[in-house]
Amino acid sequence: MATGEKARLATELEIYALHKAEWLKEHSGEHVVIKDKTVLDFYPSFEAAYRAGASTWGVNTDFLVKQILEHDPVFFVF
Amino acid sequence: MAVYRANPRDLQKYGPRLEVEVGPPILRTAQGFISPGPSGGQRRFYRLPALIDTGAGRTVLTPEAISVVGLSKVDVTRLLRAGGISDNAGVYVAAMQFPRYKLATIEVIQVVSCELPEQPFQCLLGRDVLSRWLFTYNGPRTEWTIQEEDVASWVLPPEGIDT
Repeated sequence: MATGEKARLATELEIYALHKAEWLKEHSGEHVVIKDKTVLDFYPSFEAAYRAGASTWGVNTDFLVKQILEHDPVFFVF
Repeated sequence: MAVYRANPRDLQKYGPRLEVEVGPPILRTAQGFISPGPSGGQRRFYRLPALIDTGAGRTVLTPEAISVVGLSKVDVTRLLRAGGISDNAGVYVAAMQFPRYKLATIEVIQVVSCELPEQPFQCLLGRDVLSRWLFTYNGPRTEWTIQEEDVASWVLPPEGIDT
């Protein structure tokens, strides 16, 4: 199960890593939506980005909604 | 306003606990809702025990709860917790309801997958949810309250009385 879980969004995260430096120049802070190797578009908020992805591919499928930031945030849970 | 009076020992031992219902995100359109899937499946919510956790930056669900509800994955993130750091914690998208409390449904929320070993809850309600409420922990009175704007006042009845 762990392997399957890690594989989810693996392609999309590779695409993001490949384009991150380029996207930081013009889309910093925005949210990009990617499924497989398809980049849907860039959006100002998570909700707008998720809505666009769900309208295109449905809500029962995985797709990446990633905020374009130089340093990915770390969340604390204590 | 939701007021919960807990057993004094229970509140001190576990903290402020409540039940939540978690399901797929609710996306409204002019035509209604975006279908849950290509097969047009039912929109199903699952009831889970949760803890209000001011130390959690984001709302957390256990991997088991995420699997049962069948949430879609939208990202990965770095999560620092007492047991160490998770570099690729899955981020999923959900909706959340508060069945015994008169609190607005959260129609779209990101939740992070994290094991909560040996805890009597499967969800930590983090500061992303708390940012919507005025939450008060009253230790001497062994009660906690949640106030939310635009929701009529409501008091939880004593245990044993059906709502």
